Amino acid sequence: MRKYAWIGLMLLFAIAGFAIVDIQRQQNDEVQKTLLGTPLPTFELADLEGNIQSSTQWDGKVRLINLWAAWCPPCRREIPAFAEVYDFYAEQGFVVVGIAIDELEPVKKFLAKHGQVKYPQMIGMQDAIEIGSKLGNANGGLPYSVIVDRQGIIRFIRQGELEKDTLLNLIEPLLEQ
Amino acid sequence: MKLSHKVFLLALLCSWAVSVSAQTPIQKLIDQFGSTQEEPLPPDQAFQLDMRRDSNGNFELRWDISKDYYLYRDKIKVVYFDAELKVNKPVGETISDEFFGTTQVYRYPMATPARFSLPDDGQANLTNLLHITYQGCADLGICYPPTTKILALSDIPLTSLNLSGPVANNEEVEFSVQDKIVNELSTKSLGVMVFIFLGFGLLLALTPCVLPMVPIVSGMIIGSQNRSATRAFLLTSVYVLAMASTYAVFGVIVGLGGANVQVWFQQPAVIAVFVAIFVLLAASMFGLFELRMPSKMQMYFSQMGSKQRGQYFGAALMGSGSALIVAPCITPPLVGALLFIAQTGDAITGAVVLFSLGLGMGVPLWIIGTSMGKWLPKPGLAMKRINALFGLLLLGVAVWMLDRVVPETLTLLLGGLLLVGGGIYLFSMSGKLLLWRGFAVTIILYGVLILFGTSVGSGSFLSPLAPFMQTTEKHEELPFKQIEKLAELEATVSEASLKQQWSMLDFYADWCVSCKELETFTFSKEKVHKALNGFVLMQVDVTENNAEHQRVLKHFGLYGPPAILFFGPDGKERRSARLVGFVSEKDFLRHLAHLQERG
Repeated sequence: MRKYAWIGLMLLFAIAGFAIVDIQRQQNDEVQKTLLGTPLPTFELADLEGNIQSSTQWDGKVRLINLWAAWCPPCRREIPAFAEVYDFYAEQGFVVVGIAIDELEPVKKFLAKHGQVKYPQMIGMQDAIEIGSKLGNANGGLPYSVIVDRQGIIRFIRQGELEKDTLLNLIEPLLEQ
Repeated sequence: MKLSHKVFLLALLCSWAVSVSAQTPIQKLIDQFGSTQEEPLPPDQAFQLDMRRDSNGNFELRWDISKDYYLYRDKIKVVYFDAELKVNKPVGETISDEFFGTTQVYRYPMATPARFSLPDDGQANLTNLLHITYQGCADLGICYPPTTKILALSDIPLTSLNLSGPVANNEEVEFSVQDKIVNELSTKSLGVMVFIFLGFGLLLALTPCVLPMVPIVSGMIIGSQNRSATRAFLLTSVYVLAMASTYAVFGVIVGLGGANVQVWFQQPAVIAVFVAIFVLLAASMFGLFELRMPSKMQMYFSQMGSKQRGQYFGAALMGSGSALIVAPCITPPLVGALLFIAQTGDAITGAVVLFSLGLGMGVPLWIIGTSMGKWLPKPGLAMKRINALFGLLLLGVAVWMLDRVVPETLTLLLGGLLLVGGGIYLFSMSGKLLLWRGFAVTIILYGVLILFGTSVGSGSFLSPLAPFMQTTEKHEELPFKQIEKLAELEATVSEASLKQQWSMLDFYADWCVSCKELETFTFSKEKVHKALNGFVLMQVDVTENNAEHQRVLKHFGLYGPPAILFFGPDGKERRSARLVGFVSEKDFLRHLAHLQERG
């Protein structure tokens, strides 16, 4: 009996060894996952004209909150698709809120070049980064997208490019509520 | 316990050790095949800032960039007292960006540093601050906001920099195993490192240095008296903890003191002591005499209060002692950890990590000790065979250590004799067991090969028949000019530059394993000799590691050998061409070709 106890112990050690090292990698995942199903925290940031805007003005809508920057290639790639989806579904109560973690000049230049992007924009630096952290972006990487339903509950989080199809599949059921 | 059970358990132990210590490389392998579940690293891990300065206010700026990440060349900014300094940045990889157009980025390895200088030329107050800003992205599709690191000048290590030299393209700079370990230690979290070193310890427990200690020690600690399982466990625990603590303490002392441990292990006196110890241990395994705690010591201990306390103290003492005895065998992780302590001054991490190493090494003992020897073979032929094998291993270790101070031919002879004699002895005890007999015959044959090979002039343990294989291959040493002082070095280099010649400087030491590998596998080859024709070859033998040696090493920002430096026909070092580890013949030739192409 004791023999088997030893063997069992050893197997446990082996598994523990793997598990502990794996935990390290999953830490970034953790924060994001715990935010799913929780209410979106309220936040305030300046818009491109310098006026402070509050996130509460979009309550009741299906929201895509998208953290981006002009120097971030994957961000720039996904934005035109967001603009299209916004144009199509704005009437039904969908809004994209862009939060630029960048300087004003490059953001304005980018938007001037992409005139089709008509959804509301906010801009900031350290304050915007902090909002990102509150939304689960521990390592600060962009782009970072959060989808919120009409009741204000966070339903989806993605760090990295968000494809148009995925976005449509996610918001269509939420819009029907 | 049956042999099959023992083998099974040993296999399990091995698999655990391997699984834990192989986590990182396995993870890297998996990542390389592109998993969709890749987790992006935090920017501080993806881009590790590495800066150096010299005493004239010149700086080198470099990042250790993780694979599949890149930094934007143009976004690198250095600000000093609110003014942006001009930074000389090396050429990067060109990428095409839809918005920015053609941009340059840096990836791993970033061998050539960016450079800048302070406007006040080295008269600056060391508390002045530098703001270094940089940003980059990950290939998997995310980008990081700019990071700004604020460093005081005193935070940046002082070294000597070679300032000219072409700003060249990306190149591979190799690091020795120890540097890799130091690097890993400073980047991984403590928990992970503890597990890795536990794994190392376990693996080391299976080496010929440590494994034979197990039956010896368990015999000594437990004795042949019947004890309770708890007592046996406690005794072995005291032993293992003492061993682990000794490593931790020893490591901290040596690390903070900055001494070069490897040098100690090369003093003939020290080697002689270790060899004697191992020979004695081997003798006990062969049954020539019984190893017990000297009765005087036993009496002394039992006078310390109860007999029990005496035993615990004895076990602790043995633990400490054996930590030091087997130290020569466990060099790479030990030295790696020591270097880490020395370089970072982070004694706590170093101590914890070394403690884990000791614990790992003690695991087999824990198991055997606690089982009260039930898992050791019963006295008899089986036990004798295993002891004989261990005895041979111990003698092998003794010969290996002798190799450091004794001419190679002699060690080869001893090694050959050991194999032949040992093989015959094993054969005589194999009875009808085919496996043992086969093994014994194999080592006899190999021993004969070595003896034969040595007699016809082969210098190698691994290829005894080399003299017969290639008659044109000459095992020659490179004609290095031995350099003792820094001034001598500088004179030789300027002489070479007067003749428009390249020079190569090799740092060597008898105790530097990679150096010996370089000599055997690279510097002995004819093609290398040919390629180095026209080079002025210099070598600094830092075996003694005296004050002058340390000065030269420090001058080049080195901690020790191996290192190969190259100086162009202009007499200036090609810093990016440094080699700090073993390179094969092929890689070395390629490196030389590259070097001369770029001029």
